[in-house]
Amino acid sequence: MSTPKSRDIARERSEEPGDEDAAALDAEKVPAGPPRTRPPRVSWQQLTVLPALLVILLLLTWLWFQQAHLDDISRNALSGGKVAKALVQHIELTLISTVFVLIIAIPLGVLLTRPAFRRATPVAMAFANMGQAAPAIGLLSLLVIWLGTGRLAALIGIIAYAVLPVLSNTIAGLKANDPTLLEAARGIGMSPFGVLTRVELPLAVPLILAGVRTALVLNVGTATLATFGGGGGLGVLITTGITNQRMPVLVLGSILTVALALLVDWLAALAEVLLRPRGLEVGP
Amino acid sequence: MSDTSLSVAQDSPSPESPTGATIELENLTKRYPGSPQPSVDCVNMEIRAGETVIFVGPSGCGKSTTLKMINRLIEPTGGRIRINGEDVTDMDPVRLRRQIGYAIQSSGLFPHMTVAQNIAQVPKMLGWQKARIKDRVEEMLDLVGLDPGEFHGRYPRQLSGGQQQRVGVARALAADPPVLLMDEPFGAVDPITRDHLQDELIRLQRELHKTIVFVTHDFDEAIKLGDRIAVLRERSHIAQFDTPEAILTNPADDFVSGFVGAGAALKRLNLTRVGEVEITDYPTVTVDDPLQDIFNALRGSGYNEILLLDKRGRPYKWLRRGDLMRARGSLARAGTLVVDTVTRDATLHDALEAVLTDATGRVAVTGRRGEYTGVVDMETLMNSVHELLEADRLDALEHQHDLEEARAHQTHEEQEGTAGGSGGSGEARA
Ligand SMILES: Nc1ncnc2c1ncn2[C@@H]1O[C@H](COP(=O)(O)OP(=O)(O)OP(=O)(O)O)[C@@H](O)[C@H]1O
Ligand SMILES: [Mg+2]
Repeated sequence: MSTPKSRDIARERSEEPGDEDAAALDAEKVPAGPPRTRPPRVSWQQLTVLPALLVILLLLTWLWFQQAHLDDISRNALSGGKVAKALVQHIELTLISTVFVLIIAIPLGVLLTRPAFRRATPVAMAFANMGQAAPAIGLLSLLVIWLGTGRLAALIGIIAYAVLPVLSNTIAGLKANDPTLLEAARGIGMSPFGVLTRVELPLAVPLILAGVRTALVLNVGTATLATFGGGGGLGVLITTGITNQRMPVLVLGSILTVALALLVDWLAALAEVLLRPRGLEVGP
Repeated sequence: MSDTSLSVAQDSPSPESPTGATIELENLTKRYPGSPQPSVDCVNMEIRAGETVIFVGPSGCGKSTTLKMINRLIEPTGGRIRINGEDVTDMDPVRLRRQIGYAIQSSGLFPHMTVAQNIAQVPKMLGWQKARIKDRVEEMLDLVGLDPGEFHGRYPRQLSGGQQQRVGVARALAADPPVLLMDEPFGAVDPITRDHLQDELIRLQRELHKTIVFVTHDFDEAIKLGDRIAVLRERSHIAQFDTPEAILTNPADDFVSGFVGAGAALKRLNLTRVGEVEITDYPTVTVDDPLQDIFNALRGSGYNEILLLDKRGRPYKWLRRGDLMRARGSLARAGTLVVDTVTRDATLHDALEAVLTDATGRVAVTGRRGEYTGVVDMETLMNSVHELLEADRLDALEHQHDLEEARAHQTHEEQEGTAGGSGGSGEARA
């Protein structure tokens, strides 16, 4: 299985030795000197390229719609704030599901790395894998049969699908911590809770955030399926477009989904850079 | 977390007069699950307050395990630990560890915290006031020789290995614990930095009088730092527990002499510090003096050369008579630069090294800021070494006598069938 999360882990891992080398070099080069002003963490290029592209994409879509011929069915599907409603629903589905994914996956990851529960890790990972390996649409159908149509079924489906990347990244992040460092933390008198909150979790933040980013993007995607369970979202536009064979509706639904996914990924990338603990940064 | 002081610390009445605590290990044993033999087998040891004890021994002999049982990072499977007479074997380990400083190899600093935050950890856990913590952090940085203004806000990766190690020691000492445990703290730095750090630790200990238990597998380091050295063999059995002098001049058995290694007489030089021998005055001039004064000073001194100090009073150059003749009004190119100086804490070994390499046959002794305080020359060194060796010889004779008596006593007990414990524990109390 090569999901984005395993790639992220590999990337983070491979950066470590490089960091240390850089640190060693730095250490030699760092002489006494006046405190330097810290360079901004994100360059303006990083900040602007993607939003600019998104604006262009949306602008082009809008221009295309200006000249496109819309019949009654299309008009009906897009009028009366239906697009805005679908978009808002989609964002809500994504955010709510992501919050729950975090509430479930991070504490679970913490728990599974404690000595008392370490044995349970394979079982929990198997469950999480099942959640993701099962076809999302099948999972959703089962949930609808069980819970009836509506938002709840859709949300549970999305959540089950996205727990794995956050869980496995949380576990990987916590396990990657240097055991001698944690022993030093205990050695100076930190309680187990203190070691967790003040050392283990902050150091695992980069990997956990990478998992969260993956989950967010996944959630934007799976939320398009919510429509099959009556959960609303941009999927409504897409299915309407397909069943009525109306291209403009289908295209609009798809483009908005893609744009949302890119935007969310961009925001998450920003968060990754901003929330990474300071001492772990690369560079001066 | 307000009431955190336990009686371990209460014996030191105020932070200003810190003194160490005694540590007693009684039949201390650790058997890891799944291994047939205990890794630490029945260690008995009494460590006096304010004493530096070094555990030295081959890799895997159980030094770290024994050390970590003192702050219960590793739970003993048998025996008792007493600190200042109080049995801490069953007390809350988190509370215990806040009263015991702990420093390890490669410093163990938290990479996501600044130097100041790292040092502030223990005081914070003990619930100190913010202002007090802040002052304490500055004080600790100053103590370990790092400029607070400069290093305060840095992250560990912006420090050199030696600087990290200093911060590690500062963190261990921040809450003024009576006991300091150090597990190969200088193991990961280059030899020169290690030497400096060792000198610093000696200076610190002279100011603070902590009880320090220090693990190393470098016997030279043990000699340099230890008031007493415990040479451990496998399963932490004590082969010999005695002063460095006694171990060097009178190793208990082949295992210990093997560990001491060759050149015991030369190693003896590591045991005495420059400050303990006669530091003589020497005529000096400074770069600001007029050339004519320098000339007169040299002529009046009765020596072949004179020591030139720079503006801050630090040894700068040796000036000979001939140099001055050729100087022609400027000192810029005259004389030979002072290549090596020693501090009062340097060992005679270092001083001898410096004297041998210096063309003048003497070495300048400097104070804490590098300023000139005197010189040591070859003659002083020779005399001191002769005196030392003579004193050692007498000690050894006396020691031998004691040992024989103790052996006779032991055989006597064995014959009566009352001798308990291993041979190691017997010697531990020697
Ligand atoms: N967690 C553990 N489980 C099982 N055995 C262990 C464990 N930790 C240490 N040991 C064993 O205990 C013995 C002593 O280990 P310890 O780390 O105290 O040695 P050491 O004297 O500090 O060695 P070194 O100089 O290499 O640091 C070793 O033989 C080691 O294999
Ligand atoms: Mg060790």
